[in-house]
Amino acid sequence: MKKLIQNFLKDESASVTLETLMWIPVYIVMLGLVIDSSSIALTQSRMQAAVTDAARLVAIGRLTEQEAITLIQSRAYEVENFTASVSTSDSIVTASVTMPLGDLIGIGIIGRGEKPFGTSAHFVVES
Amino acid sequence: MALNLGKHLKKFRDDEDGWVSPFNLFMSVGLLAFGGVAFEYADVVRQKNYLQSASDAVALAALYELPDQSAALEAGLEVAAKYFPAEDTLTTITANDIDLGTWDNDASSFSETTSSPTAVRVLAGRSEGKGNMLVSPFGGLTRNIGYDVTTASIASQRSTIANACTNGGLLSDSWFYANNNNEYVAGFCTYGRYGMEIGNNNAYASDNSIQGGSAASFLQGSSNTCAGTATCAMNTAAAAEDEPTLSLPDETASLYAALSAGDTSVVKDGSLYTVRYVSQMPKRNKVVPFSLYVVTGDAEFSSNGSYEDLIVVASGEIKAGSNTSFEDVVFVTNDDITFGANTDFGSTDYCVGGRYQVYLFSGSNIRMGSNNDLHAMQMAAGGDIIFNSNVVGIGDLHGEALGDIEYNSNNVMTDCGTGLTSDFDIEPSLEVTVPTGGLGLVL
Repeated sequence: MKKLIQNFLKDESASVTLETLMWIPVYIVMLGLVIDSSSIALTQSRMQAAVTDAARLVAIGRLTEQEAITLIQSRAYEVENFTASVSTSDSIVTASVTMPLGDLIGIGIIGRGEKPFGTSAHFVVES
Repeated sequence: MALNLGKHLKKFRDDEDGWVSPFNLFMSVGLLAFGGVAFEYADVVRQKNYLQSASDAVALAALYELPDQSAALEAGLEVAAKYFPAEDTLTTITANDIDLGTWDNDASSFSETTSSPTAVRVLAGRSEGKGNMLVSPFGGLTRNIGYDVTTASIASQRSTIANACTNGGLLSDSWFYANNNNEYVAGFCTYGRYGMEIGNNNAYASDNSIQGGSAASFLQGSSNTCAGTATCAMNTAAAAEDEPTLSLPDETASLYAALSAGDTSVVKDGSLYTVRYVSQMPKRNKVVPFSLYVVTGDAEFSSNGSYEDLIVVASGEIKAGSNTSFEDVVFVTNDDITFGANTDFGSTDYCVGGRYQVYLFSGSNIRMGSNNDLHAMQMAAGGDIIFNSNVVGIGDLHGEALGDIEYNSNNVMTDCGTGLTSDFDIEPSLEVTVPTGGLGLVL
């Protein structure tokens, strides 16, 4: 038994595989960071398009604020929970949307928890 | 010792143990660089989208306030402040990024101008030139110090072709002269095919009021104001074929021929009129309403008379002294029509009927003295239209002259607000491009 253990400890076959295996978590974390950060940026771009459309449509009287909220939320993918708000103050329509990082489509290295991220758009009311 | 060190170094050099770790280390740096590029590209896309939304909103906000240029800038910056918090000094839109101008839809080009701007351009962004480049966090790996992220938004008022003369107008096929202190309501147009000359302190409710032919010139004194523009300017037709045809004077010849022959059907409610052939107009208390007077020679109306429901066609001049009033009349001659001072045309409630009440057709000139009251009146002259100063009131006046139009000072144009219809189906018309109030992003 002791000899078998000694042989195992001295055996260098497959050492490359083992060493590479140790690097794999590093690669996964790096890959996850890239995927998650890109996903945040692209999701935020999608959110921006949604709030821009919604705010503009309310500003020109094509949608009510409630309809605009529905429009923004309809732009979310199934796993995403867009929290939208649309309001008008001083003749400026503001449409905002946020989403928990945890809902982000990605690896989950960055996108964890309930911390929200989002964006907004502001258009002058045309009447 | 030295021999041992050399032996150790040689052994270290030849030793292949642990070679995988340096390899992976280099690999990870390479991967990090590739990942950095992907991350930065995504971030640039995100920033650009946000900037585009901001510049679109700023452009539309500013455009909505035009033609008030300072209000436009203020509104644009107010919206910009919503997008960029005060502490964000790098990504922002300032007054320098907002340009006012015009948009040529055919050429798809924006021209910066402060003269009657109808479009707004917002050039926003972060660039090396502006000193706010988007710095690359992976620059050390990618050897890229940063990115220029710029957006452009151009918003323009939608425009359409409309009639500038909805509340009347004075149109000359030749030159147009007006003196000082005249006021014009919106929808009252003035047109001189060859050009226009106005004095000082004239006030126009719209710059569309001043029109001219394609090669017309515009001369003006000082302190003239046109609502919505910094300075009054003439709007000229794009080309000769776009210039209006003044058709009212063309009616004179056919009206003269028909009425001289006693044909009252060419006039509204003509069947109500009795034809009377005379060599001169009766005295004022002998004039019979609802008569068509066919006068051989001059038709002269006595001073201090009120005349209603008359049609007069004369082979000579038609003229009236001072202190007369005319309502529901049609005067036609190939010669001059001349009125003295203190003449009232149209009823005091002329807006009620919605139609012009006084029609003057002259193959030559129409002349009037001072202090007249011109309401609900159409004039057609083969020559000039000339009236003097201090018109008591001008409301829905439509005059067309193949010669010059000339009047003096202190005339105030008013209107019924809805325009009037002509018994001869010819209303003043000048096609102009006007904003419809709709706003649109064109870029």
